[in-house]
Amino acid sequence: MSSTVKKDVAEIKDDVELTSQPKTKRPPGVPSIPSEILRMIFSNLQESTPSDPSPNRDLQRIRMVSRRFYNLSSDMLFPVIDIDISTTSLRNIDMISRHETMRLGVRAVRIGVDLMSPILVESRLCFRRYCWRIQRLGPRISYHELPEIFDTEDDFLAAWARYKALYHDQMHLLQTGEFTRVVAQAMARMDRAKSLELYTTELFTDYYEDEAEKFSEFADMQVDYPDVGTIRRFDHEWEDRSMPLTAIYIDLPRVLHEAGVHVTKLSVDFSWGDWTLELKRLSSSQAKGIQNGLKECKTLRFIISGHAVADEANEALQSSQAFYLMEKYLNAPSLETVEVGKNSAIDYFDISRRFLAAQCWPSVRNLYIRHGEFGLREVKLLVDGLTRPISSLTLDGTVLPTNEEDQCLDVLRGVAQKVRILDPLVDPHSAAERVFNSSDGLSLANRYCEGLIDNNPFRDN
Amino acid sequence: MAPTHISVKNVDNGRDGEVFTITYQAAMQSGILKDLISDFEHASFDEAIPLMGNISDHTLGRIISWLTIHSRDVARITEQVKEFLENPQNRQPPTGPGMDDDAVNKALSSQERTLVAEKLKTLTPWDVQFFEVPTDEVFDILLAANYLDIQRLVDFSSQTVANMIKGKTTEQIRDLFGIVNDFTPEEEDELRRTEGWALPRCDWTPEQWQ
Repeated sequence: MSSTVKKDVAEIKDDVELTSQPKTKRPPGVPSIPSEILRMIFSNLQESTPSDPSPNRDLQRIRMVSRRFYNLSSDMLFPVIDIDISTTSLRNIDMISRHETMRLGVRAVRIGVDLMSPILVESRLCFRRYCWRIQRLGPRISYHELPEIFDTEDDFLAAWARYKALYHDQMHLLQTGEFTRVVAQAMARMDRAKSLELYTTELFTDYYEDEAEKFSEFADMQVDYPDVGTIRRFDHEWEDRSMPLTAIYIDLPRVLHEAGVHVTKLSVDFSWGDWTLELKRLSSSQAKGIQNGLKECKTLRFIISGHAVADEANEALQSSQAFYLMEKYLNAPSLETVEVGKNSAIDYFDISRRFLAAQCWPSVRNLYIRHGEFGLREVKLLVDGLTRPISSLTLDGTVLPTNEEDQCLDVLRGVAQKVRILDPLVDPHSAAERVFNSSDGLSLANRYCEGLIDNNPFRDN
Repeated sequence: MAPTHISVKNVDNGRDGEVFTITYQAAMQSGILKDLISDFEHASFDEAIPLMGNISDHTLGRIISWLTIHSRDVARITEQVKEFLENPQNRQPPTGPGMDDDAVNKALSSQERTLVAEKLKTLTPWDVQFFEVPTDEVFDILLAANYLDIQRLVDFSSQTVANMIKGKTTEQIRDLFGIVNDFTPEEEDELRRTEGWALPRCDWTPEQWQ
């Protein structure tokens, strides 16, 4: 060891703890900081995630510090663009897509597909009662400044007028196809935006009115709620037969394809309503359009949800149409990872059978099926559809029948390298985990889940 | 055979600086020191290895101390995580029926790697104190860590600088970095006009936001 050693480790540690002042003072060396380090610093300011895609204020301020900072940070501002159906949103996504630097950082586009309600447009009473829900407009880049609290009647009327304008704006954009066209053209300019998410907050779907005579045309929708008495329920879909959302769910994949956008990852929240009954009119060219639009899509998540109250026969029909549309999406030829599911309250259709009918097997490597209903017969059907072994198969919200569980597992293990069975109606990361890790394994899980099913108010026992 | 300790002679702008001793294990966290040790192996480490990174003695001393303090982090954290995962309730995703031993082991080792990586990214109270220094010194550490290829210290330093930026106005950020605004007033106006939707409102006067 060199005799010139001045400090041993202990001394250094003491030194560091005691000395925090540098020996010489000079201005910060920002100009000498390499660009990649500055970008690393800025990336720590990038808080946007798919769940919180709001444009970041700190990054926005950084952009205005100097030309160098502007150039280095602009592409970090919008890794995810979150828009809604409005002219404001369209203008913003269009501007981002034309920005020299900013457009290059966009990886994903999220579209909130909630529609303004015609009921709230027409009924002042309804708007007064439900306008608080409008504050949901939070993180998206367009959003409209509807006040949450009205100090005066004038404020209220101004907000209502704004709401009406937004409703008419949405209808115009969807019915003329302008929304899908502008989104597709913008995505075509954002070279790295290959991920698309259609999501709903479902905040605009249920409105109730207790002045029955005012809406007598909805008399058939009278529902008894034991806790609040007889009230009337309205959906924006009930009145609107123009299928405004077909422009999104049916036309958007085709329009994207025609604009040269190759979406590789797609997530769809699909909440059915009366308008889905019209899907039976889906033409073969429309179906083909969906398939073409998703030619390059490798990852698909398609979750169906809907109401489990009121007119069950009608809802069964609506949900069947929703599953019918899901099949069209599942026909995309390059799918490798697929997650399909329904909300746990829906029992009208067996998602596993619809999924099997979709014949999307050739390229699929990973399957995640949420709330399917599997017995030995379904498991065999599933396996028969496979042309090669797959990497992973997860059946979530699914319990195999006790008398067939061993056979089912044997069959599944024969085709999938990794098989996971998660139980229904519980958080898979909490209760399910404890159950499955206990010594009694699946039998205990079954008993546990049966208890939950018995207590499930939506279950038709 | 690898030495237990090595000596590093700092060379700052062509001038011989201090010589520091560091454990072999601590030095291995730096890509540059790792390469230098490999290059100088034939010299049996009798003499100090020259490090010509134009780093001040003060900064290098602090970095050596950081390396020393964190030299056993990976082993220590891996041990903690393994202990944590011994409890089945802590495992994600759940390992259940339908998964063979191989799949269970794979899931566990994947979770172990993730947890270790997450914990290694977290600043300890010692690190927080380590960075309680003037801004220019944080930049010195950041640049030196980048030169020495100590990724974790680069990450920590970047995170520290980012924390200094958070919540500050554009003007305050310029002061922090010692940067002069090189936008002309016309350019600023143009940006506000054309990209107003992407700019922070809080820095604007009501007139600008019209």
